[in-house]
Amino acid sequence: MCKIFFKEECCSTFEAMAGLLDRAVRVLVDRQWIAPKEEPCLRLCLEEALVNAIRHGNRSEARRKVRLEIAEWHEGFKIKVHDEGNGFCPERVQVPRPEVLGGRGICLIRHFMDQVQFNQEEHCLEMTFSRKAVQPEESPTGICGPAETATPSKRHPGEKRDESAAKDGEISGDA
Amino acid sequence: MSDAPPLLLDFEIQGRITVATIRASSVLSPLNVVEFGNRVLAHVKEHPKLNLLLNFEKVDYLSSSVLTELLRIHKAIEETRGTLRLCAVSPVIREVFEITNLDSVFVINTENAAVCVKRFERALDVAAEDEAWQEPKSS
Repeated sequence: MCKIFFKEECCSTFEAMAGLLDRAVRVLVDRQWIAPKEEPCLRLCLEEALVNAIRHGNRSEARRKVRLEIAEWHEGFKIKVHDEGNGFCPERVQVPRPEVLGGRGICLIRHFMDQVQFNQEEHCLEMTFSRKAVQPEESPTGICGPAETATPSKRHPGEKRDESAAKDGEISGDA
Repeated sequence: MSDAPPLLLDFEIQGRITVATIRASSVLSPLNVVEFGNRVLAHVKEHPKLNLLLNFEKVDYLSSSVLTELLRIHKAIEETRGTLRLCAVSPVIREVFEITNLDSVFVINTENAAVCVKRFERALDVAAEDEAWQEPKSS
């Protein structure tokens, strides 16, 4: 079972989110779960996931809650972001064309994390991050869509990833 | 006590180039990213044909919200016949542009502002020279 080492919730405001984000990153840095050079990428992914939860999941209604959990996971950690929305399939979100203003947050998360999926059972966005490239185990049941779940390791800063497969497609949501 | 919000960026004119230096990474949070965009857009609208160099020297990472603001700025500058370039862009930030295919939209430099101002000036000279060789349009 995963050992949760960070669990907090906040209301759906960017002020509250900023504090939550800072505390989560501090825990990861203090516990040396991430290398200093990985901090900007991790902060970016957490921010994108939390902003998504507030804007799209909770429709920016301040009274609605966002919960962030981080747990040990094999040789890395798993992040879960819960909101009060209907959920979505991150695998279906594709890189927008340059003329489109928004919709790039999930693409960035997919690039920097090992796995990104919507957990239907727990109804949350789930992201895994390993401290070194590890082969993920088979996808747990209740996970939405297979496309990105087979990605063996994340891209570290400077590594290239072929997004061409997604480049030409239509946008399925403003993530 | 002043209730004015802290400045997000400094504008400095260097010859034909306006260098806008973003003050710190934290100013580009969801709390103030729209304000950042609005301030740059206001400056662009006040100064048609602006040659703007956005300096990312103090910025650690870039979220998709910032990309949205940069696209708005890029569009406004094109409409006012100006030029936009980005400088002092870190490898992580450059990667964000590449992942999102926006490296084809923006001119991105990793060198510091001083180097990029000189390069920008040369590019403007070349563009002006090219324009001088164009056939005059018949009326």
